[in-house]
Amino acid sequence: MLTSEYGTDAETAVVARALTKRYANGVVALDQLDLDIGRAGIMALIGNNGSGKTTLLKLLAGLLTPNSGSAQTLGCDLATQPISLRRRIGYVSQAVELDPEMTGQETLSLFATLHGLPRATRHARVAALAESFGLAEHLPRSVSTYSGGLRQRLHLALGVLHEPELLLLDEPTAALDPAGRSFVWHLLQRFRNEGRTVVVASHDLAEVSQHCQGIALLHRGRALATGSPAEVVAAHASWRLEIEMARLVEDNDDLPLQLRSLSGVKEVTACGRQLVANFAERDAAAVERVKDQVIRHLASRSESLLGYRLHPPDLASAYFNLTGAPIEETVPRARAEPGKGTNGRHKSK
Amino acid sequence: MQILGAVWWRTWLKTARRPVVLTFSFVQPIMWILFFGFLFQRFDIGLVLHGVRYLDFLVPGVCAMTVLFGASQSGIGLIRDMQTGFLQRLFASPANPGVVLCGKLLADVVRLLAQATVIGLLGLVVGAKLHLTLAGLGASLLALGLFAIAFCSLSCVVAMKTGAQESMATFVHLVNMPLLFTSSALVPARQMPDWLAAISRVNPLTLAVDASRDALLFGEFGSLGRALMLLAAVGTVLLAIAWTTATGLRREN
Repeated sequence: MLTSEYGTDAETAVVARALTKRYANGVVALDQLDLDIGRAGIMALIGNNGSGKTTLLKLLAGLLTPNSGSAQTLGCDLATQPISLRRRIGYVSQAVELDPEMTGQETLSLFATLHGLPRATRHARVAALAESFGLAEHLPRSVSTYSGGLRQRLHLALGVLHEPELLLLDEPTAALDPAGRSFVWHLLQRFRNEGRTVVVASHDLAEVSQHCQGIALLHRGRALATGSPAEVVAAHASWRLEIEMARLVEDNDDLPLQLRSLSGVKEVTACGRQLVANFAERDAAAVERVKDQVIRHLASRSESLLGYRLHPPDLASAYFNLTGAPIEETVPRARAEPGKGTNGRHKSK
Repeated sequence: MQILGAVWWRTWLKTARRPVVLTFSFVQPIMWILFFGFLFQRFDIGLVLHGVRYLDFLVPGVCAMTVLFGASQSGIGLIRDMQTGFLQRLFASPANPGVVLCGKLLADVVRLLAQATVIGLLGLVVGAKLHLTLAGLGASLLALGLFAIAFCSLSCVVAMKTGAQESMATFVHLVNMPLLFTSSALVPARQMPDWLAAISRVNPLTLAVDASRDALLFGEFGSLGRALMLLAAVGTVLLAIAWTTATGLRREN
């Protein structure tokens, strides 16, 4: 759930206003970011590398200090109450931060103590957590003998050991197999059903669309769009036609410009052999007509096609329409200039 | 207190799981006692310390040297934790990073004192004669303990500030040798050139060694009060810097 009023209340977990974080090397990771995150839901932060997702999560966890702006998490001011907040927040970093020389049992017990769990319930909590994370039989073993999936589970278990009200996760499924990803999303759903709030940074738009109630689309340290996935798609996404050409489309090729001039085509990008045409039309029948028009135009130029596919509006399209960059691109911000094409893709507006 | 104990226990677990490192930390001081003790067997230290042989003089010095060498490497464990990200995770917990660091320092100091005790006993085995009393042992361990707190803290500050194994290696070489050879650990200050003796008098290792040696060789505690006060002051300052560094690390990890 997203709110627009300033100030946290019973239904708002996070309120950020004009939040700015500039690192010592001059990189501005967050630039006057405004964001509200409702309680008891799963909110996804989506955006390319360098969009500010990790910085925002660390700021909300109290691990970074903003240069300016304010943030309230669970009703507490991050600037004045970071310690008391830590008991109510779980932060799971992208990197799996474990001591390979310790056993799983020792790791969980150590953090149970650090989080101030009562001695009387500590052992039971660790046992229950290990059971629910499928770690019970592995606890006596050294972490160095764990598989990647088991390490990730232990990493996640440490984040929820103290049953936080707000769970912040930085790309928790990035290095997992399908079973592992399914496990993580199931866990997050369970958290949400228990009335907790989950904020998760992710690159996987299909998973986000399926599991999250809210999204914040970040780009260059700002939230360009917020709302439910359906709301963001409805407001910003368009139909798009992906065409696989038989030849490479060079940067100076006039084909994208020609297609852009066709009625109903909003913009065209080219990347290697692939052309992507975003449509201005939203009505399915009109979209079909624009598609036929594009295909006919290519035929008139005697272009050979390997295939094409029409995509309904989705988050990838919304991201592209808002930022001018495809969501999967990983070019650092300094080199990614909108409108000039990134990751080998050039755009014709 | 529970946090202190939990981190203390973890540090001991890791020490116990690296028996090679622990064993090797005994080898060097034993070699110093054997080589230096017998190499300078005929060195007449009785000129300045009546009735004392060089081996007797050397053993408290090597005990302090064991503490110096061990303490200067205290930060290496932190660097390993920084490289795995585990330290960042420890500091991201609600526990005060200063308390977490103190748990580690406490475990290191206790280990170093245990090592120094074992080295002292081995000195007795090879023929050193010490005036052993409970008060003397206590005074010696107190002086060495304060010295250990100071230099474990300094080592941890270097580790947290640099986060690199290479920096630790440089620190160990830059600090240990000058500190050792400008102290009274191997030679009495009265037998040094004047300029070196002047440096020696303000060397914290000299303070720890002299207090320990007076207590263990002669059962004298005259220099103890001043030494403990100065060592406590150095230890407090360095521990405070380490505490502040750990807290700062949490804010920007």
